[in-house]
Amino acid sequence: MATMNKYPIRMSFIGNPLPGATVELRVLIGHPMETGFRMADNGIDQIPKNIIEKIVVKLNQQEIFLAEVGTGTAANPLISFLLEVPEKGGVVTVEWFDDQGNTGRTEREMIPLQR
Amino acid sequence: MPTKRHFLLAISGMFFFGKSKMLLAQNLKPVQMMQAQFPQYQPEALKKLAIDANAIQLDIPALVDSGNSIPFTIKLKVPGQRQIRSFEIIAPENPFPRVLGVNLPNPHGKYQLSTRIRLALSQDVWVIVTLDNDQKIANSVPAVVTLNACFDAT
Repeated sequence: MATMNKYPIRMSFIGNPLPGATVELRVLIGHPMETGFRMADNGIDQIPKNIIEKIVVKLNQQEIFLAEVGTGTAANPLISFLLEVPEKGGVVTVEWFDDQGNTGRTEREMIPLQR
Repeated sequence: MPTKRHFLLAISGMFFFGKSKMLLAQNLKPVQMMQAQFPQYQPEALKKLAIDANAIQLDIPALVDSGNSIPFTIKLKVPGQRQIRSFEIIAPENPFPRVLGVNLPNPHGKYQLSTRIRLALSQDVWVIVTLDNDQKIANSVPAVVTLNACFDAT
């Protein structure tokens, strides 16, 4: 579920969510990730720094992944990692926080397929 | 015999030379100062870490067109009964070398992560893994960048 705010966020599972198998979890956040080194179009002003500092992924309210992001991460950060599917599935929640106080959140239910 | 024209050219040349030197110094100094905040991420410090190429497999394009967005994949598989507590991606030549640091509340024996990173210059990208006994292992991979990121308005 993408949130309807300024910074869209999308989460998807790649692969068959069989119980005990691994699926790939992909998180894509539409964030400019300004480093603070770029110049504005007039060539004088600097575009202010605006980067995501923290990304938290939770599975059934339990933290499974904590990322501290720096300026070296590309704009529109994409993070994908492998995740083991629990027996009864669960809800995956992604939250992010940036240095200007903006936050974003999305969640998606993982329903395991029956063999 | 020096004329007024020669004199004016010399004066203006000196002025622009001084201005350009000042500009260069202004641009370079903050970057070096920023990198100096992180002595543990300088190449000399990174080369002292224990290198384990089997446990840490890194995948990055050898030649990249734009340093603004480079796909980077890490595959970790630590030997024995050890588990991964955290790992971090380091680009030593970037103004802020620490690209991404990941903490795993539930330690894993193996892990895989893909992301997209920015590189300011052609350099070796390092990954440092901290195991559950506080041992650190590392590996690096070279990447050549034709268009640098972080410094210009491209």
